[in-house]
Amino acid sequence: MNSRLRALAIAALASLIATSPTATVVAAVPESADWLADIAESGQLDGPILARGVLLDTNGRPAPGQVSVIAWPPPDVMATLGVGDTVKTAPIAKATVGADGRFALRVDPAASLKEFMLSDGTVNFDLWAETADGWSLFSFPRALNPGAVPAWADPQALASIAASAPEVLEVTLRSEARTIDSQAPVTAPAPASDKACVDTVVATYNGRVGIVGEVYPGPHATADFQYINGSSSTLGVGFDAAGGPVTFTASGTTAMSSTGTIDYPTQAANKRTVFQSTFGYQNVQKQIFGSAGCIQQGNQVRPYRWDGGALSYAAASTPSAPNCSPVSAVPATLTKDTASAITFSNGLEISGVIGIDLSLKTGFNASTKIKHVFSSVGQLCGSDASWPNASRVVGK
Amino acid sequence: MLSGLVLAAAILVFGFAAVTRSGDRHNGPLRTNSTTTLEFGLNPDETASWGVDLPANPTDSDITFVSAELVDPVGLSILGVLMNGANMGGIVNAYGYPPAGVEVFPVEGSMLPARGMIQVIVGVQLPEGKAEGTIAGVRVTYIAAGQTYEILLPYSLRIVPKAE
Repeated sequence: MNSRLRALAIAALASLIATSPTATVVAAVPESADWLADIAESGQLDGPILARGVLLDTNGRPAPGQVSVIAWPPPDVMATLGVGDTVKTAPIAKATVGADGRFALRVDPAASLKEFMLSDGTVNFDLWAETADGWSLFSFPRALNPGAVPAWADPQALASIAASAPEVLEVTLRSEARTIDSQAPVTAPAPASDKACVDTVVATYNGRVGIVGEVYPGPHATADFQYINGSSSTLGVGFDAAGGPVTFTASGTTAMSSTGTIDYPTQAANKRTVFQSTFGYQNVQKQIFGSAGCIQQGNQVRPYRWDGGALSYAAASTPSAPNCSPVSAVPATLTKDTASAITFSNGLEISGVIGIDLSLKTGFNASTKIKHVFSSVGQLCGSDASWPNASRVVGK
Repeated sequence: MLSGLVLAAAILVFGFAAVTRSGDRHNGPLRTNSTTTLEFGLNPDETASWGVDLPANPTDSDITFVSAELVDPVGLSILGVLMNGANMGGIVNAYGYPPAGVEVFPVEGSMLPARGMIQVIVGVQLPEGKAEGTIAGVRVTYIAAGQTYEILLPYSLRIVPKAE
């Protein structure tokens, strides 16, 4: 009787585990001694897709090759690294790409992501691709949405009012020609992880100024912007496959959170004010675990910390905001977070060192707030929706 | 001890299934996680309307509303809960209920067309002697593509006595 009860209990628990949203290996992983042998081929896995897309060669044609994903340490770990220090990244997914260039990447369930997670569960990933004639890189943050059907989702999309379901990252990777002379494997320093090549911090660019918010209170209100501890931003990443000083291109984004609070000065009626803060960037010399082992391949410039500066400037104009709602019972105080924030494509000023400015989007959680205080009858208007769900709000 | 193990396992299995069903109900096309608060003053003899925006309908089909319930209303007299006409503009707040110049309809049966916008209109009054009245949010039940869903709008209201 006891053994029957024990069997029932074990069967019930096994049933629960079997229906839990975890990635599982559904077929034997083919042995590959040459390329990320510890990571299972995504085609052999049955978990949620982390990213999919098409791999192109340097001429823009679909091409065979290899794609892999590495996880980056969270910003608080990166902030402990100085020039000359190595970065402990880890490969977590790989796929061999056929002649049609198509790929779909799933996280190897044996790869632990815990040490790479930000406090909200977001992980910053790099997607590397190799074709016969070049390389490409794309950086992106993702968090596992543990809904009824688990899915990897953009942390911003999880906050989006328009998203009816998390969308899988779709990316087209066009290779850049190899211009570094050594395609042959280099002798790498001792790896920070036994499964990874070595990335090395070669420079830091601190105090980079980026836009974190804006207010346009209009004639009947004042406005206050608060960048509260835990405010989330996604900042652009630059990549230079050639390793040169001024040939960077934007190649995705990285997520990070503020570790302090800035309560910017209240803005009087009719002001148009853009608020900025400062961020630290690291220039990381990359190594790729490609088909020929660890290969030195270019530099990546990515954010690693929030520096906490508080700046502002007067905007030249007010953005269009046609979705207006009257505020008729006054005085009235309206507070909203910036969960539906806007991306400023050149919001992060770093062109002085890498030749281009990068994108910046702040918001998508409840830690960044705008407060309007209407003292007389007016309207609060949204750019792309009514004010609670708008990415930009304007008082009128 | 083993009986307890069986019971615990059964609770886990059925609990997991219940959570999954509940999650499905909240997984409809209308989504928001922005939060807002609105605060203004009222005299005891005044009434007011509060406009609660739903997210725009992101689907290509109509959405039909079933109900709108206030979450944790405290210290207020609730005069009613209605909806305005879809795509007819909204209000943040207004004196009087229903608000002058705004066409309103019962929640049950109100329709939100594809890509359209709509509001819940809540009528409130702060009774004499109350230091404040609050509503923590609005829970809206709706039908989309034949499925019934629920959205909790984390939009809160605080009414205080009007300053002299």
